[in-house]
This record gives sequence, C-alpha cells and structure tokens, in this order.
Amino acid sequence: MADPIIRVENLVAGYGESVILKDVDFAVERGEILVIVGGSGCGKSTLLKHMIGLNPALGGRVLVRGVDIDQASEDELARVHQSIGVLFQSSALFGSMTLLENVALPLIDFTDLPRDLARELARAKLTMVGLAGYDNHLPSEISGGMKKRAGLARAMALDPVVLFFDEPSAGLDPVTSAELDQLILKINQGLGTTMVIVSHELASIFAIAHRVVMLDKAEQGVIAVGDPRELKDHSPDPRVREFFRRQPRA
Amino acid sequence: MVGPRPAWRRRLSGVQQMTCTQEGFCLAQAAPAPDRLELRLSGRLGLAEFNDLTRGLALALEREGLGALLLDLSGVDYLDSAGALALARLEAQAAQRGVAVEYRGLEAAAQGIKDLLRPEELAKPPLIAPQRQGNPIEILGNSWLSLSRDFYQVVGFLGELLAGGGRALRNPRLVRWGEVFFYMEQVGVNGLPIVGLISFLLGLIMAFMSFLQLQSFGANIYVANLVALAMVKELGPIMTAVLVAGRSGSAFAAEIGTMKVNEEVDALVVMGYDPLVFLALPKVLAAVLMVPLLTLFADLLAITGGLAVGVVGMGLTAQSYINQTLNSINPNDIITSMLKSAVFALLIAGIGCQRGFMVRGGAQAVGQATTSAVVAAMFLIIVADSIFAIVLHYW
Repeated sequence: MADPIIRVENLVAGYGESVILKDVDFAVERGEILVIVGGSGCGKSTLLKHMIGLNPALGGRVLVRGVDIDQASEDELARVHQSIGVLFQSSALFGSMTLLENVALPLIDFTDLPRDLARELARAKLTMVGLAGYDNHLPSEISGGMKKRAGLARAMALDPVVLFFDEPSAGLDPVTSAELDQLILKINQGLGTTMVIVSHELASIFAIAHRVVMLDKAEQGVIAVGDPRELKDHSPDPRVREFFRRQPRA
Repeated sequence: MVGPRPAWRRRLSGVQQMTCTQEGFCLAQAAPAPDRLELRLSGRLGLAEFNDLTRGLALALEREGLGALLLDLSGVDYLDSAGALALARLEAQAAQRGVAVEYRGLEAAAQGIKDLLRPEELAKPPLIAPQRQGNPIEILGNSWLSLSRDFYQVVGFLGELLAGGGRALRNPRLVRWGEVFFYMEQVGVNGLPIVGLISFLLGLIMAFMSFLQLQSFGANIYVANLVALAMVKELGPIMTAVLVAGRSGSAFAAEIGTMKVNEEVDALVVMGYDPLVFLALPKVLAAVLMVPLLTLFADLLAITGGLAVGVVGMGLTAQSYINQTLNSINPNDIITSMLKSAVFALLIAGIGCQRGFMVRGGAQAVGQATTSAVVAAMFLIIVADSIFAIVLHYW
C-alpha cells in the first residue's frame, strides 16, 4: 500500500493550556473515507482543526502529504492548504459574494487560468454538486443543504487530494443528508479524493465510511479504529458497541 | 482520479501530428479518413493542463469537413474534474458543429468523473440574472426610493421606541435595569477619556487660534467668551454626539445585527419578549441619561483647554479667565445644551438599534448596518441641531 496521505503521530490536541486529546495516533490512506466519530464534546472538531493546520499541536505532530504542518514554512503550508479542501460546519461561504464568485475565487487567485475559464470551471463545480443555475445566488438566498453543497463546490475548486468535512449532515433533513452522502461517495469514487469527515450521524457513517476513528471524552483519546460495521457487533469495548448501536450507556 | 500508468509516452501508430506540453499531456492527431479524426490523449488531464487542453481540443475541432471524432483516452494517467470539463466542452462544441464524438479507453473511474458533469446541467442558464449597474436616472430613482423608505422606517421605529418607553414608564419592571446600567458604563464612563481628551484639545486649539486674531485688538480676554459660548452652545453637544455615534451607535448596530443573524432576536420574539423593549430600550435609556453628562464633561474640559492657553500663552490669571467664562454663559445655555444632547442621544441610539434590526443576511450586512448607523446618526444630529438653532433663536 502507498504511504498514508495523512499521519497523526502522538498528537496532543487542545487550546492553549487546555488539553482535550492525548496521544492520538492514526493514519489516513489515499482514497479512503475516514470518519472521526465520538460523543459530543469529545474533541472531533478540535482534532480536525489540528489536521488542517488551524490549531497548533500541543504535542506530537500532524503530517499532511509528508509535511509537518506545524513546522512547515509559509510556502509549504500554502501548498498544503491548496492541496486540501475544507467544508466547514456552517459552510463558511462569503456572504458578500455570489455562489459562482465563491467557487471561482481560489481558481482566479491560485491558478493561471484566464478569468472566463476559471468562471466556467467554477460553474462546472456547482453543476457537480447539483447547483447548476445557482451562479448568481447569494448564500443568504439558498437553503442550508444548498449551502453545504456550495461549500463543497468551493472546497473542491482546486481539485484537492484531501477533502475535510466538519459535521456535513448537521442541520440537514434526512433526504438532503442522504443526498449529500451520495455526493460524497460519487466524488470519492469518481475523483479518488481522500475524505476525512467529522460526524456523529450514524446513518451517514454506515453509508459512507470505509473506516472510523472513535474518540472518547473520558479517555481523552482514540478508543477504536476500524470498519464501523465490524465495530458495531464485534468491538470488545462496550462504549464503541453502544455508540454504533445507538444504545444508552450501561 | 485515474491511477498512475507507467510509460504513457508510448509510440503511436499512424500519428500525423503530436504536441506535448512541458510536464502535462500529449495530444496526438491521426486522420484515417478525410471526415474522421482520431485524438489520442495521454498523460495528465488536470487543473494545471486545463487551459492548454481546451485550446488544443478546440483547434483540432476546427478541421475542415470533420464528421466524426474518436477520442482515445487509454494513455491518460490522471483525470480530474477540470479534465472532465475540457472533454465536456469538446462534446458541446462538437455537437454544435454536427461532429459525432466517440470515446475509446475510457475507464470506469474516468467515466465516473465525466458523469458528474452532465452536459444538460452544464448548459443550464443562471436562474437569476447577475446584478447590473442601472443607468444614472435609475440609480437616482432607486436612491430616492430607498431614502424615502429609510425615512419612513426610522420614523416608524422611533415611534415604536417611544411607545415602548411609554409602556416601560407605566410598568418599570419591563425595563432590564441591569442592562441599562451596563450600557450607561459603556456609553458614559468608558467614553470619558476620549471625549475628555478631544474636548480639551479642541478648547486649546480654539483659544489659541482666536488669541492670534484677538490680540491685535487687545481683546485677549474675549477668548474665554468665545471658547465657552462655542463649546456650550454648539460644539460641546455636537462633538460629544459625533463621538458617541462612532463609539456606541455603531456598537449597538453591530450587536443587534449579529443577534439578528444568529436568530437570537427571533428567539426573543417566540419567547414572548418585545425585542424593542428587551434590546433597544436599555441602550436608548442609557444613552439619553449619559450623553448630556458627557456633554457637560466635554464643555468643562474644553474650557480647561482654553484656560491653559489663557494662563500660559496670553498672560491672563486663572481667576479672570474663569470669571469671564462664567459671565459669558448662563444656566439656561447649559440646560439647552444638555437637552440638545439628550435628543442627539435618542437619535444616535435609536438609529443604531434600528439599523441593527434591519440586518438581513450575514457578516457583510452587519458591516453595512454599522456604517449606515454612524452616517445616518451624523446626518440626523446636524438636522436636529439646525432645527434647535432656529427654534431657540425665535423662542
């Protein structure tokens, strides 16, 4: 198997003095869909922020495509950031720009494409996520599910090798959520993009995850790694089985 | 992404023309029949190659009398959505020219990428037209309409605010007094340093400039009158109001605007609160109570600035400067000055809150509301001051 695209090595995650996760150690393989799961407040989003270089590690390190993102020079970090895409929980679309402008922004700024081709490519990205025709809409004029799709189109603008999703299904109805799952699968299969997803939506996890990394608040770290379908029935840890079976704590 | 395939630069039989980019892809052309063209693509078809690829494919399509095009992708190592778009563009252009397109060596993965870009979806026109800049008359008309609407809304809001104030007067428990004291501190106490410094410097400058003129008439002592009258009657209330508009009016608009964006105002409504009484009234009350006191403070500091110039620069005694100042103003001037300030405060806080409640959308709308609150407050301060000037003159 090829080298993992992301390595998290003995990471201590948190903010300032406050440690949320300790000794987190796992790898993300090329082309896989890895879902980070766990109960509320266990540090899923914090771990994601460390993986994309928004939070500096309190200990250990995160290697994205072989680059230690805390030690990387500005140029290296910029290259890493251009090779990844992030769909934030709130979509984080720029409210003053139309959807087309949101998606075209990195294409215009970070490629040599002429403006008209960049805009055409941005339209294609919107088409890929099912938003054909919504070029001139502002983020405030579309629904939550459409915002997620538009955020995904922007995250995919530069055809990143890794896509990160922070709670992609949060706040979506089951049908929209299932459609987004399908879109994630299509992109993963079609473009071979590696996906790292933070979620606690069981239906989504079983539908899309190749592997999960499960975090626990009390343990302050990883308590299980593997196929969610396997873990549901065969994990030796009752906390893991309870989580995937949606059972109250014993 | 299609997986890597070694040695893609293999020899192609029957090729008439072959072009390769620096590190990206090769495009080989062969024409087995006059109306038939074979394009063999190899290498990377990604974002970096998109520009060259679209140009190369468009050029190939311009061939005279072309009826059928075969695209051989068996040598392609990498295809992403940019490469797929280049192929989709080629298909659309070929369809326009009546050229049939056929693929060879299109792997399942590449087909998956192509399927994400359905031609009928790509051709869909925007559902709404882009916003265009109208002609000058249209812009003027729209500005006038927006100004009228704005005026109507401001008057309506101030009316509602006064009605809310009336309700609060009948039932003081409606007012959140803790919030009132908090905003009194924000507007008044925290504003003291900047209001004091600017007023002191203003008094100093005014005294110095007027001294330069009055000394040639031997009328130095009248510098005290000038500073006191100008500050108490006009500049004190206006300067304080402008500073409060910049500090607090904008803050009120941003705070309520952000609450609107986060649906906190909607939450208040469904919980049975009147957002106007809950959010706006404490701010307005605090401003109306504190701005007159700030104005008094500003007047005092400006007179102190004038006194400093009088004593240090003009050789006057502090006693004579203070006596001259007290002779030039009367209690009525001070009361009028404070009354004016209270009205200015009502306008500043009212417009700040109104602009906050008008926010629709996201961060940009909050920024616009903040700017608009300050600009509108300054405009209303000047209008109100003009009205005061006329009324007080004839009263």
